[in-house]
Amino acid sequence: MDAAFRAAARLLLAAGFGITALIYAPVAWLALLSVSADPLSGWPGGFTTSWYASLSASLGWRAPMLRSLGIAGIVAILCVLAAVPPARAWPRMRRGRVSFAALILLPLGVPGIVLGLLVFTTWRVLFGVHMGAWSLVLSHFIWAYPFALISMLVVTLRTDPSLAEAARDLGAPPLRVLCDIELPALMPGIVGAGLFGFLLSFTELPRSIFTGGQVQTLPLYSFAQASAHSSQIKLIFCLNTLISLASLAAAAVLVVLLRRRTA
Amino acid sequence: MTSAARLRDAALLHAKNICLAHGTVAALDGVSLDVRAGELLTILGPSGSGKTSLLRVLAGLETPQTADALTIDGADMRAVPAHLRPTATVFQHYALFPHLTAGANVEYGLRVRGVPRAARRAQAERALALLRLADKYDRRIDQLSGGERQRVAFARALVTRPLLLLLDEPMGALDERLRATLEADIRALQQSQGMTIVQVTHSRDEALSMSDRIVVMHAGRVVQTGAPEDIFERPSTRFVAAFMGGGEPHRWPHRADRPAWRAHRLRRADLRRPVDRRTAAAPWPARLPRRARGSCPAWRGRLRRQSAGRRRAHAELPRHHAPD
Amino acid sequence: MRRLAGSAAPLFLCLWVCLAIVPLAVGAAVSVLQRRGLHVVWSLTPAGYGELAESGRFGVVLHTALLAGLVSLVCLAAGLPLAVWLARSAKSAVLANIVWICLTAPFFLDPAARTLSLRLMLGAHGVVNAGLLALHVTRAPLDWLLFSDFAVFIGLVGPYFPNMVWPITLSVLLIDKALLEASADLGAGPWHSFRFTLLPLAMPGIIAGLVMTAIPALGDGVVPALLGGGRREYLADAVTSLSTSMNYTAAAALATVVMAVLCGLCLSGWLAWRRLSKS
Repeated sequence: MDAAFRAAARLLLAAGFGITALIYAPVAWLALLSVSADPLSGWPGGFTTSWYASLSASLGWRAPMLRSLGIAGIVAILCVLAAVPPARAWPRMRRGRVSFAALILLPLGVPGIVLGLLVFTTWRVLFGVHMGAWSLVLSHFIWAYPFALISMLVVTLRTDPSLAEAARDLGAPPLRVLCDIELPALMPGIVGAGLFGFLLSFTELPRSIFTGGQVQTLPLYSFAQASAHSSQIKLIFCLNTLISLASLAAAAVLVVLLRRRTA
Repeated sequence: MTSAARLRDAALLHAKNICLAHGTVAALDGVSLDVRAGELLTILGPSGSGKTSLLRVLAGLETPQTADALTIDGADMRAVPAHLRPTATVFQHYALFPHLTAGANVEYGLRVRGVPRAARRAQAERALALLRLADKYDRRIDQLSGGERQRVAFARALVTRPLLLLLDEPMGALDERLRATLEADIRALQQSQGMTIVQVTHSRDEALSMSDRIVVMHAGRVVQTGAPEDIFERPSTRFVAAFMGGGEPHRWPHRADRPAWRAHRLRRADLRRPVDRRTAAAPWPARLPRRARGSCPAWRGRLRRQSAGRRRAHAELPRHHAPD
Repeated sequence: MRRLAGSAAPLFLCLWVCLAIVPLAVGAAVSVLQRRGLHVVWSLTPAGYGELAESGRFGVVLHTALLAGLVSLVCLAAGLPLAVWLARSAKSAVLANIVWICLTAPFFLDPAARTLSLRLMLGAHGVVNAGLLALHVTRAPLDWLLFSDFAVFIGLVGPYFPNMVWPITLSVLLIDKALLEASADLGAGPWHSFRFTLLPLAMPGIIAGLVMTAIPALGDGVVPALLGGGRREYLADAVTSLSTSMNYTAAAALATVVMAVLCGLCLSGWLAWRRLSKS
């Protein structure tokens, strides 16, 4: 029994590593294709950086890119501002923890495309308000905020509350306690919440399909080009290779920050 | 036949030259131990002395780097994993399963052995009744008081009928009154069931009042073994004397009060000694008999390979990092 | 400052409820209204649901749900050992860190680009078929690799795998090591320790992982659009096509059906969990 269990567990663990590799195979292939002569053939070869050159010359992706960066930045700031106070209050909360968490996590239980549709239905169909950057920010915030809050909670739950009490006991006024003691302790969580807000918004697609209106974000642009078999696809490969590298670096920062706290 | 050989023949557990290191920190440094069938042996020592590590090695939860011998009832245990050893442990914080009821906790060891439901329920109820918990079978663990949890942990360990019962600071988290009851419980169980018990404690009073024999440990080594009276009245090293004499004079349960004058004098003398930096964390001098040293090769090589500076850094943190 | 925080918290919660929670209920309301162009008329009609039944969209929901369920189960089977390894027995900190990073980054990768690349790999002349041909596994390129349920399955398993591993890892990290030691000490081998101690104690994480994998997989639009090939409609296709034809009441009805199915699943899962934990 135990031997069979061990063998099965080892096999499944290998499958787990396999699936992790499966996540990256397309990304690596994408990177290879982006430096190939004919990316759309699906085969690397005739290596060239010319697509990167035409990417830097092309203009089509710049406006969506800047728009996505702006929206992601706003979502990140909103996430941090909205995640810090509840996360600070959480350890002191006596009642209502479960219902508070359930309220915040509830939208995660709805598929993204359905949530996008519902936000659209509520505002556009019911109230006649046109979609735009504001609704993108709103739907991205609803998507990213639970993650931001969780990453703040990981930190506040591991931070000793008596640190702030000790500072107060030593005579520090509340603002000083916040600046000198709490913020430095919370910094990994703040960075984590900001990164979650930024990156989840920056790559958000299913909600944006409905809440974007006339505004085109970078994922919407990529998706449109990819579905339309456009000639711009080669440039999308280059762009996304760069974005993937940046995402990996950001993920590394996030993991190091959160693991330093939880280790 | 020498007396040592006779002891080994009667021993239920025989361990020889056990060395355990966590990283480069030595937890057990050549420990040997014999436990006779039916006795209650107490391993006594301050925090970080390696006593819990020793207990975990006996239970199979830690694998020593070297062990010249480790037998229970004559069978070699060195390659036997924890779940196949005839031992049962009562953990320091009880480690009761929070997702099971008190009864299901007690049944656990029987369930994994494939005992049918009705039989294991009957046995679990008998074990709970033995510890005056007959009406607590269906309680969840978080609905039990500290003393009740303690006794559930006992019942859980007893019900598998281990050859050797291991107790890790069994009374660490209990108040004075509960301690007295539990001491009596343990003694009664041991005598009625003929159990062999090894318990770990840092409390001198517990050790003196309950044990058949005491093993005093310090810094990963056994410094003295003997009957409670011997250890108390004829400490073999300054450390044992200071440790046994610390605090209030011990009250022997069966005899008139007797001031432990020798231990007290030693303690006053210790106070006048200049503080030794390397042992500043411990209020007693760490002098050990010379022959106890140097029997473990396992981590020596690793230590030697490090620079002199780092070696000194390790020496200044003598084993207080070792989990106790 | 505390007073400020005291009044800000309920305000924020109200905003959150209005902006994030209320729309979830709005779908159910709109689904029973009559539509006129882009707008709705305030009179009740079950027409939205009738249209769903006529166009066979209940079957679409069911098919997509089955696929999402299969994806979650495969992720669970492979993710549980990986999560336990990450939380308990990863000997090398460097390897563990690399796996953590690899499992974090997919949250942030652009779905369209990744799926497009997968399409190029799975196609008739793609690298997977070329590899299979070279290894003499098949004689002709496999045509079911792309534009099929299989392709959608492969496209969904990768991206949502981390959603499964993360919550389970966190819940296994929270299990007191002494409990597993106690289990072994009481005579439980690896299988019994897993079955009777680790699995029940990790159950909250497993349920969270199932929810966080199945739900996005159910609603994913990119993968079916790029890998499904259009021969079969998936949930996201149905939502998009209903809303591009401006049939918002039917779209809202579809959303309501999905949420009802999910609520039903959650409820039955919760009941099963309660019965299991009692017995």
